[in-house]
Amino acid sequence: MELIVWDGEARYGLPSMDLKSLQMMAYIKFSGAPVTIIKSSNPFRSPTGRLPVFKCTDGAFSDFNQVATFLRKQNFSCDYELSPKQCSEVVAYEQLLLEKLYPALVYLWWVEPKSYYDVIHKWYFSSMPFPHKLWYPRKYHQGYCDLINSMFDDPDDNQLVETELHKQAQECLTMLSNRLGDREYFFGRSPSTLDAVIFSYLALLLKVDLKVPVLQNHIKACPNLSRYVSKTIQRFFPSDLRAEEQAKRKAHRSTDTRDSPPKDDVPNKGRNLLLSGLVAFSAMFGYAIAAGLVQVDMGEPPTEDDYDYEYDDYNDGESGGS
Amino acid sequence: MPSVLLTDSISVELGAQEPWPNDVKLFQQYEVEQILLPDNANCLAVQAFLKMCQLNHTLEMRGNAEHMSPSGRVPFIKAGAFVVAELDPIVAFVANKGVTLTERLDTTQKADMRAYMSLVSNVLANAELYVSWVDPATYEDVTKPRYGSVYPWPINVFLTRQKRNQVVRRLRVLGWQQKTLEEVYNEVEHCCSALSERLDRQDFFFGKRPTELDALVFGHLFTLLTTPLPDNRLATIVRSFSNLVKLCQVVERDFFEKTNGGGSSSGNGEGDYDKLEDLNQLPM
Repeated sequence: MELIVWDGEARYGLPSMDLKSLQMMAYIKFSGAPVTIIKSSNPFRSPTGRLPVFKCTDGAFSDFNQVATFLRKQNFSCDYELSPKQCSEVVAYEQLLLEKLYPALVYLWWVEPKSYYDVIHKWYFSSMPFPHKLWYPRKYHQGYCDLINSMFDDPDDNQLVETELHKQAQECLTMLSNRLGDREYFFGRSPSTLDAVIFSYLALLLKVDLKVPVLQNHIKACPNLSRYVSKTIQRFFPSDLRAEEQAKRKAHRSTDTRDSPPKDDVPNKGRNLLLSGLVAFSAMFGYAIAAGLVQVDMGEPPTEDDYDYEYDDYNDGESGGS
Repeated sequence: MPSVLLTDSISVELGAQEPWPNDVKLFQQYEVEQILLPDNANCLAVQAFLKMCQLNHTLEMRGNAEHMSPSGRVPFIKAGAFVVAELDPIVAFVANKGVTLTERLDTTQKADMRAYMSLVSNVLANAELYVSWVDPATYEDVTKPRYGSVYPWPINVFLTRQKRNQVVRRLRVLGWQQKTLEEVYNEVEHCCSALSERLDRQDFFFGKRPTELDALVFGHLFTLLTTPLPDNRLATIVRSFSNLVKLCQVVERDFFEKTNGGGSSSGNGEGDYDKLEDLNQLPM
């Protein structure tokens, strides 16, 4: 059994930059199933054409519930301690998040132009291999835009859309914070399927620095939610936590070294300047010649005979006069 | 805990000034010949909610109710100067007047209630839309003639097609259009079993008194139980959960029958009466 997921980002300390990937990874870690997790950033090779994908003897799945059902059949589940009533709550809360938090997450990541171009598109563009990165991020962007547009009667009124989505998401986060209370996980001391789902939403909203940090600030303002996320990462994804610390240290060091010689941020600056100057000069000079602004007389030089003649004449005159 | 947005507090200020007016009207489509499964479920849920709150209202049936509504969806109420559409905003509007069904619930129970309401409005409502507009048999036999019934030819053809495109596009982005009918039935069954587990043997979802979740569940399940469709699998699925059917009967008996007899909120007595008979005839 293996699970191929979207790659994570060490800068944010996230095991994966994708909601579904994160949900499946968390479920697998919580249930302790022996699944190899492979990080990738190319959905082209996946048998379903999408990431994440779970490959097993029954085929390839990209849907969270299908994966959970398959693993349950193999006796790997994290819901053994739940009562039937709690299991039904898992189903209900999954739908609550899908209705209230998912549209806000999608909007902030893929639709809101500042975050999309500066953070999300940039990340996907830099981590995907060459021909695919021209196509996939734009395709996802279009799909998510359609989702948001279909939810509102007047999708062009950005202000209205944003206010409504933020309001719903904030209400939902407050409810989750109330529901969690002081407990370690939503149903007591051990994580369940519900924790896998909620953790993924909260981790993405909390860890990624977007240009519109409303929901990030909201989670930070609910101390039990932010503690919940960091504890879960610490316990189940320690390698990503270490990677984050390393990335931070490296970033810190690079800023330190950059501070001492401040103007050395572009290497070979003089050479580049000279080269571009030459290119510009030759282009302009070429144009000037082509347009006839500067004439270089390439005609035949005057023949020597004329000169000779005059010279001779002169000489003759001279000689005659003297 | 961070506070709610500014817009909320403004609407609270505005709404709280007047008491509940006497001439509140609830608008919906014609119940007998026009209304469709998803709309009927929502209208019934709002009616049940208002009756649970004991708020007077009269039912107004209009052929173009859908186009009169500020959100484009039915039902909507007109209370004084305010026009409010759909269950959630109506619940918030009523709460601003100081009437609420959830005051005795703690924050955890309120969160649970919201979660189950999302479950119903995501799964059951989408399943109803799917069956009405995507399933070819139901679309041809029920949806097409009923939806266009109030408009003359050729506008009925255009409007029906336009509405269908709109619904199908919405279901596609939500990932429902790609499902088969069998998968949709499985989703409904899954949802009903979750609701049934939560309800257990209680009268209502949260103890002895109803909440808006009960109103919403009643609206959807009652409609599924009583609407004749070419394929009555949906009704069969709901009927297999006896405690959910019992909830529908209790809500119907306590709120619809009583108010019709007393005549305090007149509503459409005949329509409701028909439904009562239907439900009593259910093979249990």
